[in-house]
Amino acid sequence: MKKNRAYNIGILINTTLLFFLMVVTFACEDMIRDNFLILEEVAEFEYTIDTDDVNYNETESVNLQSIINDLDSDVEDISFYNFTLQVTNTYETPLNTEISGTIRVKQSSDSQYESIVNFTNITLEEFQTERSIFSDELTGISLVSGGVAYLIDLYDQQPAPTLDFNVRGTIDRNGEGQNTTFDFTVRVYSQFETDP
Amino acid sequence: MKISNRLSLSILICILVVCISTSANSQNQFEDAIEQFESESVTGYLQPFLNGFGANLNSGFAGTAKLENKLVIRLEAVGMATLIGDAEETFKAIPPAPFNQQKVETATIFGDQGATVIGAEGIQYKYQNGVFDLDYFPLAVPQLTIGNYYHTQVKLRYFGYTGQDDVPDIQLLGLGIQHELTQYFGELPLDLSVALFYQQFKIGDIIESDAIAIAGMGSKEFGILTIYGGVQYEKTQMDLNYTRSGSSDIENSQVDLTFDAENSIRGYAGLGLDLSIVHIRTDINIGNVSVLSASIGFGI
Repeated sequence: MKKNRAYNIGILINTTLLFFLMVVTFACEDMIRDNFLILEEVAEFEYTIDTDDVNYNETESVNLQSIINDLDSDVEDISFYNFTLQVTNTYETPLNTEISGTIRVKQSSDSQYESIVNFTNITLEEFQTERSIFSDELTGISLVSGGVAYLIDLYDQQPAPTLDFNVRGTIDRNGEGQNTTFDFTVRVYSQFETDP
Repeated sequence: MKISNRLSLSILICILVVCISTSANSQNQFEDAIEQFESESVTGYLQPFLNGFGANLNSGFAGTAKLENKLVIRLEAVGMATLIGDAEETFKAIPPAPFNQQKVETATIFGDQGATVIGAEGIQYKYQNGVFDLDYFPLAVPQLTIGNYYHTQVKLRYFGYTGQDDVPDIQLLGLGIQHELTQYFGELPLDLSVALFYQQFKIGDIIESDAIAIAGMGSKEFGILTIYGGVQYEKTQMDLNYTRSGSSDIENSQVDLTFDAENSIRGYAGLGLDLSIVHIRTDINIGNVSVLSASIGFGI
């Protein structure tokens, strides 16, 4: 008799909780939106400029496809929303050293670069703060007409290309020292729309 | 009783595992979505989640205020839900530099499509999209009640899940104590008690939440039916600690902040039904966030 009672209690508990289980499962199933997940990545290129010449010229590459592969998701769209310049190390170089130059970009398979931005007579000290090329807080940085649009188009390409970023320009040492060493860092802030 | 308790426990574990596994993608997506935000915007994106989650977590403890000195052991499955309205689907955020620093309305974690901001030369910044599509935000937890000694009972909540693959570790630990006050006043038209509850909830490595609630409650029994109600002060905090996705070497990429849920005071009223070893309760909670709570319990 006692065994039967315990059995009935067990059935009652099971039935009720299984109903609860079904409700919980139903609630969990439909709760996720079918939206893209936006992942952000920062592509960073560090150009080490070490020269006793007036001119410098360095190139770094980024393979967008390898970034996509690292994300381990189905990427539907890539875009960039900021492009910054910064001097990250000055070593023994005087901070009043002025640099001028151009950032250029091309698809690795192409031969012609497209200029994105020019900068003129900016001291290493001013460049120790990360500067957006889209910000007007620092005079001496000017966008090249059509350059940003060209980069936007490159990011839109399928399959995602490898891009070469080139920085070249001149150094004004203000009459001090011979050799100039500094690290010039370019960062491209990107967004990847992924299908989770 | 031992047989029934074993059965209930096994089914409860099953409930939790199913709920977690069916939302496995959401857990991963949830963390990934959060890790895109800088500290200025992540609180707005998550505020409705914390409000709902905190309100849920601080629900389901209530019941009879009458705690006679007798053995009580009860295992309950407690379900709670907060309503998600239009106000919970959007928030205002300031776009990152170099975009115009004017606020834009975009999706919270309960919203749909995030806003797109257009900047100089046609550059665009897309805010994170919403993750959850809910009219109500549900939560279910197991709860064990043990008492009553010196007109006092203890309530315990616990579940733990060790993360696998894309699902992070999840752990809830809750402890509550309720003490009857009627004994100190003699004859009263209804029973009174006070209670204190503390809970800690962790999701993966990036979210930790603490909730504390202090409640005063009253109840009146009519045979197997109990009518109860009360007021509650509560505070829920969420700690977020993560490195922004894709920017580990960039300045200010580490996010470490604490923010509070907007609920602080609530009033509630409910009904309980005691059918021998089966105990059913349901109540409505009104505060900054409204919560519906229901439970079914087995025990003496």
